[in-house]
Amino acid sequence: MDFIWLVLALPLLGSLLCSTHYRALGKAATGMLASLAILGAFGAAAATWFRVHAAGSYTSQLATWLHIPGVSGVDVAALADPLSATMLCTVTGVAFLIHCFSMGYMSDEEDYGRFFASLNLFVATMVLLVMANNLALLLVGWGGVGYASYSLIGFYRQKPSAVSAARKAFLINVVGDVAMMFAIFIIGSRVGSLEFTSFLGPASLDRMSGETILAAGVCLMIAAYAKSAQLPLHTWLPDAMEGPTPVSALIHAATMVTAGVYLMVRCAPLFGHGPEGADLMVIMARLGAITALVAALCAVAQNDLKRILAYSTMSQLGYMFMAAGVGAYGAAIFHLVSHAFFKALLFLTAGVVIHALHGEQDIRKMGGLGKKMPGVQLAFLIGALALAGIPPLVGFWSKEAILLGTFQDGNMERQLLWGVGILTALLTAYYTGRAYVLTFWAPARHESELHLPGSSMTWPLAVLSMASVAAGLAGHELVSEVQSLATHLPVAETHETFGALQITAILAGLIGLGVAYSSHKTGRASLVPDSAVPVLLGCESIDSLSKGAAGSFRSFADMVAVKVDPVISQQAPDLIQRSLYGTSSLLCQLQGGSLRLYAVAVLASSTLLALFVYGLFSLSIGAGQ
Amino acid sequence: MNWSHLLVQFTPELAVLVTAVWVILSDLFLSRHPSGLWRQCFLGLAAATIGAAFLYQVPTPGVELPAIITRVLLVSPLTSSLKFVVLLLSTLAVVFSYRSFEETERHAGEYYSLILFSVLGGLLCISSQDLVLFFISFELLSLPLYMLCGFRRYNSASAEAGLKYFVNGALSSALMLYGISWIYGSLGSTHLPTLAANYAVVPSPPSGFLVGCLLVLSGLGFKVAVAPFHTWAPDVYSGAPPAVSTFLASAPKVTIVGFILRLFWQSLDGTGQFFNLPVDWVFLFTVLAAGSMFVGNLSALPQQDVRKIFAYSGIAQIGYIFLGLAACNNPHPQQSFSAVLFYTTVYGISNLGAWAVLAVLARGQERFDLDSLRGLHQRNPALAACLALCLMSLAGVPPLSGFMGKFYLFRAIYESGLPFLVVLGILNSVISLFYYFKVLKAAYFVEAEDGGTSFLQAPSAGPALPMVQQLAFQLCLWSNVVLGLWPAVIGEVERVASTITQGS
Repeated sequence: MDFIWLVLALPLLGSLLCSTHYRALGKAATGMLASLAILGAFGAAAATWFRVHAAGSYTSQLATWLHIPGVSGVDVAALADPLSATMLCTVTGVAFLIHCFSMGYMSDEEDYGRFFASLNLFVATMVLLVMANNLALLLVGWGGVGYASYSLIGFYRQKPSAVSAARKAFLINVVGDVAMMFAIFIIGSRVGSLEFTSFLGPASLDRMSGETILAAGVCLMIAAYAKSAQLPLHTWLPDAMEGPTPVSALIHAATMVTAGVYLMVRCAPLFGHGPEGADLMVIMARLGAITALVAALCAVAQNDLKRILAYSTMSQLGYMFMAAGVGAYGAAIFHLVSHAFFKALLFLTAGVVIHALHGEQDIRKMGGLGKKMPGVQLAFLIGALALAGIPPLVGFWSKEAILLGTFQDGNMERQLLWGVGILTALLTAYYTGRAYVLTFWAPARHESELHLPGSSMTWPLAVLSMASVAAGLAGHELVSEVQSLATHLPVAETHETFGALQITAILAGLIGLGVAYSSHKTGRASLVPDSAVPVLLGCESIDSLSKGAAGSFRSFADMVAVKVDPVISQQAPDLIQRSLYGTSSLLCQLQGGSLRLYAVAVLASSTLLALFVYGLFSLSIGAGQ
Repeated sequence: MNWSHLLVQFTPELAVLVTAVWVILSDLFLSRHPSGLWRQCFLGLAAATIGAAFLYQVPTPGVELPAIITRVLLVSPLTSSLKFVVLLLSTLAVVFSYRSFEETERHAGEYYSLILFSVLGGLLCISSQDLVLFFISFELLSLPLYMLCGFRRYNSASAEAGLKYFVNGALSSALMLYGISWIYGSLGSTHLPTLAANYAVVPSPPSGFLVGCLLVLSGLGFKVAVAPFHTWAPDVYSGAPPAVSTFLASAPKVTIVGFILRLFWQSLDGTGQFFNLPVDWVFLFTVLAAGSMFVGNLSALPQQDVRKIFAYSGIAQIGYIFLGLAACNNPHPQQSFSAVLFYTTVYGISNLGAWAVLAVLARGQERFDLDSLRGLHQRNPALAACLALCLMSLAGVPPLSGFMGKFYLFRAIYESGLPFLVVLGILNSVISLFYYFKVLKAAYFVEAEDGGTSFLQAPSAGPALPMVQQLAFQLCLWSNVVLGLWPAVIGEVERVASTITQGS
């Protein structure tokens, strides 16, 4: 028993208590309990981190889970290494701040018990996902995250759009779950172990044929793409904005979409093995770059503050997958951590803004908030600059690590990917700047009385702002640590030169911000002509495609429900029931209650059985002779 | 030879024996207050249970017991784990019978001593190495049960149940004794290891031995109410006081299933084959199993009396266990053993929980038709939840323990090459859903007649259930979840099962 299990147990316990005792606890105490549970988990995660860095990686086994012949390592066991320890600290730390923020944000809600219970469960399942030392246990967390996000996205269950968004997120996540199961079947049957340290070891990888690596890798990638909202399985993410804003912050920053990146980095040795693995990595890098660019274009055309941020998440995740695809695993995780900080900051600030404007989410109807809420403005500015990749904020260092890692090997394709990355950075800076300028600087386009945030909502912003400024310092060490873990190779000492590449990236960011400032400072809503909007929103067309497919399934299901089902579900059971009851009334007649009859039945049955067995016996003896 | 080891190894039996005698004496000379007697009985059984758990956890290898003891009593992981389960179930049954008889019967103290003697008989049954000792302890297990079934002497249904059970039980005991004499006559011993050794050296298997085994199996089958020896069960279960049925439906069944495993697989033949006789034992067990499942499930369907539904469900559940026993007859029966053991344990606890609800309800009302459960979820949510989880577990609803039990059972049967039996089992599970959910429908979906004030408001029942019963209900309720999901349990069962064929 190790304290790493506390990281899982505390949120689970919090979830249980919040769901059963919220009436007795009352509103404030429920939120406090949920937050404290996460704080405790963060403490345990930090302790794990220090232990890993003091004494090296270790596995802590709680119990054996399943005995499957031929497959080992299906245990309730946790793997603590620099990667999982970093992830645990990030998840619980950011989640703690979001919990504290929610106590203020959700103070008007009636259903706080359900909210905090689901929030804690969300963290618990994500923690399970991260600390699992085998794919089967990871799948439990993987599916659990999907369920918890479903219940939180659909938190406003009176709202049809929220319910359908929740259903969509769940369905697409199930696609990922199924892919994950197939990956488990393939790896379990071919390698005979689901434990990361075992099936990702060089010996097991050498035993796997190229086809196995290809099949397992593709399944893992589909799973990761569904969870991390990568093309073409991204459509649930923008809709997930229907949930309360703290939930969006949690989904985007800490608990959900990062799971796919984590999985890719965790399984890096599989992708780094053989020509098939290399092919998959090329696909991963290309798809990542395309997702980054397409999502950035979508964000440019959006007017809803939360949807802009949603597409920016998708775009940044594209960066991370690109990094994983080119083998810059350390950079991917570094960007994941830094993104967790500044995206949580941005979402929570957006939450404050929306809260202040009584639920208004359209940036065309905002403006002039800078003077009224200077602190919030500063927080959003820090987040926006970090997202735009302006030094010395953390976003610059992590994005730089990715772009550098992409450019490093210098072939044509890598340079092209780098170019896409720079273009995306330019767009990112532009749409972030636009959102910032239209919300805070441009003249006010609303008249309502502002609903100013309380201190419980602002201090998490301050902490996240500081993290977004300062976390860049720890980047170098994190990158090399994760990189050596993922590739089993010592990291070559790179020369941190401040050269043309960095200057290009900074310039791209500055140009983007400059364009945004000059064109929107007067309150002009969009640079994009209306006719171009559908083009920019091209990636949303996949949504309509899936809607069409879903529609045809639906009409088929309707047909079955109206025509076929009544026959199967009503008449057939009636028939079965009638025949069963007929037989049983016969049987019950035998049960007359007469003692003599019972005694005769016992005697007769045993005699019959004895005769029967004796007859069989003598028959077989006779046959033998 | 060391007598102190003997004391340690048989702590549970001695604790039960001492408590039983103590309860009788206390009833006679010290205090006739029923709750005091109940407390003594409970503490004795609880101590025995803890002792059994400890003995199971900390086996003492290399302990030399006196030969006179090892000749007749076996101590192995199987026996100690079974003893623990039986004692746990008995303790719970005693907890649930608290206050059941105080108002109506003058001799409540006898109830506790009878249960304790029956438990002692069960414990000795599990361990016995000799058929004569087995028969005596089997009678020690059975005789108190006959009396317990007729415990409410002035209630005609209870008296009838006692008499029916006794007469039929005497008949089955006679059959069994007759079978033992056939076995002795053909192989010259009643000592199980000697029998196995003699059996190994005879040139061709004696047919008398075969008939003897079959008669013994009939006697055992009568006790667990497997069809066609089940006829007593519905009448006895519905006539006996529900508190007695709670005990009757759990601990003795686990005992007998354990002894069947020991008799036919551990002792007679070290290889796990159900003797090398040229007779299709799989077929025999399949007939018994299929008969039980169909008779139990189909007869339960039209019943309106909840006790009869439970009685028939018990017959059907034994059918599943016999299906598992049929699958034990192959060269690698470990998986089937562990499935049977696990399913038996799960069945014991779930069945006990379901009956216990009736036993507690019986204190406030004298009717047991489906309508008497109306609105139970309003009247007492904890009781309703316990009933619901236990019945769903018996029906095999995932992810409860009964589902996992059926899953392991059917997997073992399938892997023994008997897919047809799996189909039979699943078919019967489906049928059983009908009546299990009929009970749940009454408890959950029909509103109480008077808004839920009737039960537990009656002066005789007191304002609420006693704390210890509430805890016991929680234990039953959660065991349905935990046994199914906590992986260490099946691991332990597999470990126990793997020791069965390692010699006797």
